[in-house]
Amino acid sequence: MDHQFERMSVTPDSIGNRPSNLGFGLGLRTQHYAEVLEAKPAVDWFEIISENYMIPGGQPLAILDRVRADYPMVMHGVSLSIGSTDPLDTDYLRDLKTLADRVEPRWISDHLCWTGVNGLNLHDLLPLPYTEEAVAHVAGRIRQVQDFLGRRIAIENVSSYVTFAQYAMTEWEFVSAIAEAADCWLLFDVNNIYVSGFNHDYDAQAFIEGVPRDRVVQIHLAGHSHNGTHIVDTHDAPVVDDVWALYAAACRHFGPVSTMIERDDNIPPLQDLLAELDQARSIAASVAGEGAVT
Amino acid sequence: MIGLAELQAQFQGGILTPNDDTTLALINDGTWEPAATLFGVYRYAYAARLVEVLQANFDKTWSLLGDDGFDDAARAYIAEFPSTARNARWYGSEFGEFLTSYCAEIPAVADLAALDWAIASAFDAPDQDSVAVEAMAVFHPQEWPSLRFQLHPAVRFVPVSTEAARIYEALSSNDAPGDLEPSTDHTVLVWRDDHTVRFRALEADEANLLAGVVEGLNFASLCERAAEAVGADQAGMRGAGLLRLWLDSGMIAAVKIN
Repeated sequence: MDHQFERMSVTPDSIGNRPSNLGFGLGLRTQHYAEVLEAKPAVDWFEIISENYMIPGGQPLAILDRVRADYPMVMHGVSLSIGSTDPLDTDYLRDLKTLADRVEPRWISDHLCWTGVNGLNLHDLLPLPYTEEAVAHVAGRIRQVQDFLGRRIAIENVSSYVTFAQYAMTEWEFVSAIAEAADCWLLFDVNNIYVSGFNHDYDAQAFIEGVPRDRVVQIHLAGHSHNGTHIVDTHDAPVVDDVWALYAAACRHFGPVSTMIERDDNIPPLQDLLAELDQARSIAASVAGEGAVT
Repeated sequence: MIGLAELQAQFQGGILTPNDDTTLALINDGTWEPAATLFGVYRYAYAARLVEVLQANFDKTWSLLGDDGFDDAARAYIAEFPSTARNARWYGSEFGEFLTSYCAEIPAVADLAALDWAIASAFDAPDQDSVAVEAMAVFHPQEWPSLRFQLHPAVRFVPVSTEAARIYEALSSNDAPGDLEPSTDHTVLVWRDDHTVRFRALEADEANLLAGVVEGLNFASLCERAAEAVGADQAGMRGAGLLRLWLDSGMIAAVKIN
């Protein structure tokens, strides 16, 4: 049996080792450090923004170590720029791996987007055209990153405000094609499909049903800013009822998946986020009580 | 149909050059808004996000300039210095230098920005244990002249021409900044005591001795340098006193003989 055949033969079974469901988590934010350390709130796990801790030393890393001692963690990046046509940033990947060695996260995620080209970084999650060229390009880079990190990563669907004239498939077909070609996990952002679904007038339910459920390891829930004719993904407000309804639909389709509230701006007291997390628990439990996954 | 690399270059160019609408040919009109309005979300978010990054990295400069003044300065900087930093934490490394000309009429602004940046970089500088005063007991008196000192990696020196440290403290207390006029050129020392970043304006002779530490001078040479300021009879006392102060502050990471 040659090496190439060995690789091919193990691939179909490899998604069987999908990370286990961690329950209900929150993003770790500086405003809540003291309360998290002292009160140890009833959160099953925390997600960190990787870049906030990709620093040489000091208090943030010391606090990170203390929180990690009490909670499982996952790492969520914003700067991988997996869709960029610039070369992968090996310094960034090395720092990411160093942090992962420290945190020992259950998984590492970033966004299905690009953040800049020609050496610049716009620090935004910029959209990709849904083309075969982009599928091949991104999937190849995800595989490179996974080889470097020695583990699968999870890729998150982003909110977008434009669609490109170049268009060969739907967004969920694009996400699915990349996940399959790269053999990676998916971080399914329910708010993002609501935002993009409104902005581009597509059926969010079709998105839920269109991605490979066995690859979904995490769900994001967040708030947004509705400007009447378009929605902006601001993460500065509570989750709205329509997104909760979509979350219920996602629970029906995906079954139990690690779920978290992602709040990045206008950070409320921790108790407010814990209440939102309880709502997620309640919805997931209610769906589980309905019976079969759709 | 253009390739992905060209598409990304054009899309990015359209964000960085607000008056260049050639990018709009790449994207569709939306159901409820034209392409220009939708693309404008990215244009707006780009500068707004980097202004927020600069606000976080230059908090007291923001306080001094106020919202509108800081916003103007930040947007001028963003237009001239698009980010090449992978991590937004490191965006703004040239902002202090930029402000020396942009706010040339108020040199305290650039001084404060340099202090803001130094404090931020000390906050998350590498961890390293500090040498305790008690640990110095292991050295015999005859070894002291040969001792050399390594500063903690969080130590920073900020050359200023205004009372930047006093202005920073005033703004931290939500007080008026007071006199912004130039004063004597001097150095502000920034260091980290455990996880707390501290700073103070240095007397000239202490700045001179700390420069000697950075140069790798041994204790005997440091005392010779101290003699230039306080005289030979006081030099040993001054050198030992400052060394004690640096050790107590957690500024010394290593002590070596020769």
